[in-house]
Amino acid sequence: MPSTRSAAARTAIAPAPERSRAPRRWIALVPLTALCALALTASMLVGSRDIPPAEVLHVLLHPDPDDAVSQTVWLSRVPRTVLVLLAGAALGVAGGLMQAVTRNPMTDPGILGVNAGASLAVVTGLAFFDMTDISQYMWWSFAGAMVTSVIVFAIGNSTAARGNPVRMTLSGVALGAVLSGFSSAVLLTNSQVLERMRGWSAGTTASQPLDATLTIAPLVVAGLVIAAISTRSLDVLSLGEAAAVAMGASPNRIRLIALVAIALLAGGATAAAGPIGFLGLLAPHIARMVVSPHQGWITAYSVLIAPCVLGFADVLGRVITTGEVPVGVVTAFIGAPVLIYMVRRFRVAEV
Amino acid sequence: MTFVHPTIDGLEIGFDEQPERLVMDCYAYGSLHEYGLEPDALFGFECDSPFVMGDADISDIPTVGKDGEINVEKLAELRPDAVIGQGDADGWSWFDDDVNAQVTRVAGFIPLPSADDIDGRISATRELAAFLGADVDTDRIQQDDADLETAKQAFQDAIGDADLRIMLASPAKEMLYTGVGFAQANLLEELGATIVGPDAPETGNPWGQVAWEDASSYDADLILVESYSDDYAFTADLWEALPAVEADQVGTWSSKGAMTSRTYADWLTGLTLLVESSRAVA
Repeated sequence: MPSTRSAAARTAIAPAPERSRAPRRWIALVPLTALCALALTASMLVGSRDIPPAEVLHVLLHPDPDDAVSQTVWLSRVPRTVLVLLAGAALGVAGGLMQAVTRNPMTDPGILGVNAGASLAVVTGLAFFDMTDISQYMWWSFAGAMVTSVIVFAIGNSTAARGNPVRMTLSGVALGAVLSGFSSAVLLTNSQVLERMRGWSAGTTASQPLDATLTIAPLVVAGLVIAAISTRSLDVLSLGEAAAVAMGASPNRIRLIALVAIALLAGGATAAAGPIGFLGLLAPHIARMVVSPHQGWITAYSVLIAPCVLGFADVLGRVITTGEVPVGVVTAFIGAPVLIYMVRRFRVAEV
Repeated sequence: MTFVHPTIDGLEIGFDEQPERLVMDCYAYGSLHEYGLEPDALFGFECDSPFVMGDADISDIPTVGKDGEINVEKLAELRPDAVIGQGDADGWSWFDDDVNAQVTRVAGFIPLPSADDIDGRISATRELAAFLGADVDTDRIQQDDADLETAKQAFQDAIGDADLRIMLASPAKEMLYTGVGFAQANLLEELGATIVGPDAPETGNPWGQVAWEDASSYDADLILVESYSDDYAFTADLWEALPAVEADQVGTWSSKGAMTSRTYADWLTGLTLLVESSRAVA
């Protein structure tokens, strides 16, 4: 985005008080990183099967394909932990991008219809294309998320009112409702598809093979890179459409690039773990409360906060009851009250 | 005339005359077609499942609903004498109260019997078939009963020699569901099999729930998967790592299949062959 590198833009983005906050933001990253590491460590050590930490470490270093404990660690906990990290970071950053693009602090991947598009694609593949394998779900889900994002962008920018964040949000909400309706129609008339969709649609990290998880890694990394290099542009966009244009930025191009990142991130995460709610809303919210509206810092904090929340939620789901509670259910249960508390306790940060 | 329900205490369903026009859910038809009863229409779940329908041909039978839906207007047009399906005194298991109220205004609802054991269910289903006018004492049915007894004995002999532990399961992405306490598991246990898995929950959903991490802690030499077939598609790393799955010692069962001697004779015969070809692997 060369147009955003003007002196005027830099002044607008980083005034003097803003620069003075930078050391505190760096310092706060330290405990946050430690908390995230703790969540990922808990994901490796805690599960429904009681395995002492020393044994987990031993089988990590000395895998034995025929040993039940080694299978548990390598076929369950390692893939789940990697998925928590990737999907968490992806959903957290995607949520922050969505809130920036729509300039609406209450958006998450569900609002722009991305989850609904991914779900409809999976339902279609299961019902009409004999899709059975989890590795197939992923690509259909990703394609659904990508197509939905492009359609929402096209609708939101199709007339003279282009660039209106409310219009784009409403386009996403409306399209999401239509796509969800189609999914429900197919599921209501096909109980076998409903049965196969059940685990994925609840949002779970269980039973996802490591190689399948790693196939989304390039998508997530690409999305994170695009998100990182878009942060300054999004800060300019946050000043308003007219101000952004006056600074030489192209709001449509900024939104389109952000939307590509959103599709890569939310599509990849949803493909691997199913639709997990609240994370994309919660993580950027917490980040914004700490770092104020600065997209670069919001992105950096979201990368750590979301896997942290997802990791602890997943661990809680493993031990809270006999069997397991899917992490998508746990994030909804803990995310909603935490968000309500924070909104009541602290000032709601503006985008 | 009154049908005194064989497994629901105190439930008596009155009819002005012998019910002839029948609408059934597919679970009911799967059982009752063995006795020659034909419905005027079908509804319900798993109508295309061979595990539920057996060899029943439903291609010429109209439907008034699919899965959890029913077209009450279409049902009323048929003017049925009775609606038969899985449920209780209040109506079909998967309809809302409002829908059940509409259905029972159209015709009396007869819930399928649900005794604790397979023999009890077969016998109670036969009582229902007899009430609906079927001849339940034909040579074929007597032969089916004899075949079931023979199959039970053969399984008992095979499992006694083999000393294998069996798990009844239904694997899903989020966890492994198990069938301890189901009538089918109890039947195998009565015949000498050791059934492994967590105890059935005391209330609510009858399936045992096992996190995938714990799946290998139940030492099963042989796993029976609900509605298993040659093109069974479920995969998960920890599922594939179970000794019984690795050894390809996997068979089928159905928690809802037809409650007839023929169905269970065939199932036990197949299971006996599986037991005889399996070895202890857990």
